[in-house]
Amino acid sequence: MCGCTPEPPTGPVPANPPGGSAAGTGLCCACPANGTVSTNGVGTYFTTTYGSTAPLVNKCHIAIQRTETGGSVTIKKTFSLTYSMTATEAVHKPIITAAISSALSAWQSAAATYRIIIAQPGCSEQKLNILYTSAVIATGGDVVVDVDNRPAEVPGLRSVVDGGTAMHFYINGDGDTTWTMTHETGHTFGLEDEYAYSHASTTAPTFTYKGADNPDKTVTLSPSTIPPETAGAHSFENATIMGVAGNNTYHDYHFYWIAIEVKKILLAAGVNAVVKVGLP
Amino acid sequence: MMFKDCQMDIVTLASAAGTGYRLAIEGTQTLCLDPEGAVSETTHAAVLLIMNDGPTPVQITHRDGPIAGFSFRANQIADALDPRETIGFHTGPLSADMVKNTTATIAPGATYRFRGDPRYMIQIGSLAKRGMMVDGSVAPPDQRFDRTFRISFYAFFDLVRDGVKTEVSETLPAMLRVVVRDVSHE
Repeated sequence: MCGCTPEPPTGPVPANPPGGSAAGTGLCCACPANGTVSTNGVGTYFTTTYGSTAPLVNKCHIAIQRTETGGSVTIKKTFSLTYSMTATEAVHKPIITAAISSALSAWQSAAATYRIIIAQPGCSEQKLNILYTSAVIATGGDVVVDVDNRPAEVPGLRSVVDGGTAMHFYINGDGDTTWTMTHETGHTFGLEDEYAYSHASTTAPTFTYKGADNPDKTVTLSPSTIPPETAGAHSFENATIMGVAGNNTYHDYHFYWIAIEVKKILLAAGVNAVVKVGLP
Repeated sequence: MMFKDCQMDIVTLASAAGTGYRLAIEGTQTLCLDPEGAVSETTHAAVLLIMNDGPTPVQITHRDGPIAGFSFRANQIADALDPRETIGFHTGPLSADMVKNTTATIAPGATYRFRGDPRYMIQIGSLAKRGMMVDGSVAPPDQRFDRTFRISFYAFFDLVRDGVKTEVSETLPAMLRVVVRDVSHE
């Protein structure tokens, strides 16, 4: 208490109010943030010299929880199931739900090698764990899975993702159910196939994953023993979950998209942080 | 065409010829789809016929098993109204142990039948039943239950006659009309 009469403020009003969705204040170092993702991976997450230009739209929700030096990035993707060719909710929903859960567990296990590293001005560096969760909901999921129970065919049927948000999953198709679901969910996160069976040139094709603040990573495919699928063409592949059936190799670039989306979410909250994928 | 009038007659959809052989794609030119039916569209997938027109036997080798589609498939599917947009999809990769070849001998005058990847019929059926165009837009009313797709089939295999090997690679265009039962008016 100074005992004096306060004076009203004088002078001109500041020229511009603070801007940005967080009113320019930015988030505190440990403030949570979250956002909804709807991004076409083609061109945004990666480019290739061989792939199709058909979109691979990644729809999901990301929740960022931060402590002083750690925290987590939780990716939640919802799935709605439709049933065809004698597939039923009673019989097949548990099977597909388990496959989806196993697939996201596989992605999470692979991601455990890495962290999302956030360097926000004025804060300690934070290394966040990457977590994947899923939910099967009645309608309106990020991905619609058509569960197809037609009998096994000759030649066998291989499951497929169209556009990143529509999956056709053959219960009796070729390949291991969990591995196939893991590969196909990779597409629903906007990731590209890492093979080219009808490459016109003997020059190996490449793909480039874009880093938010990591340097972009370019990978050259290796010659494949798979025969080319068109005359005069050449086959190439990369031995990863996205490139060879049954392979369970993952690389840091498979998680670059998370850093891209985390950076976007933080920017929307007024924080221009450096966001990378790195080691713990 | 009304669904009740729809018939799936097997005909030759496309053909090509080389020295001593002919190719024909046999299948239905009209696919009658019942959205509530449980019959697989793949039952009606086209078959590649390889006919030996030469005077001596020929041996053919084609991809089989999970990679059968490498030897016979529909590699482009478009709406007849808009052939610029084709169906694109991401399927799984292959491993070396999935590679399988089948070799068969065709006597002079005989025909060999080969079924490749039938999934194109599922894609077409899915679009038609949902009333979607290939480009993802909603089918116009006059295309909702009766429309035509433009398909590009591709055949690719080895043919050996009298010890001389020929790589056969042919693209054969065809049309497929799809009539869908309108269950909303029943």
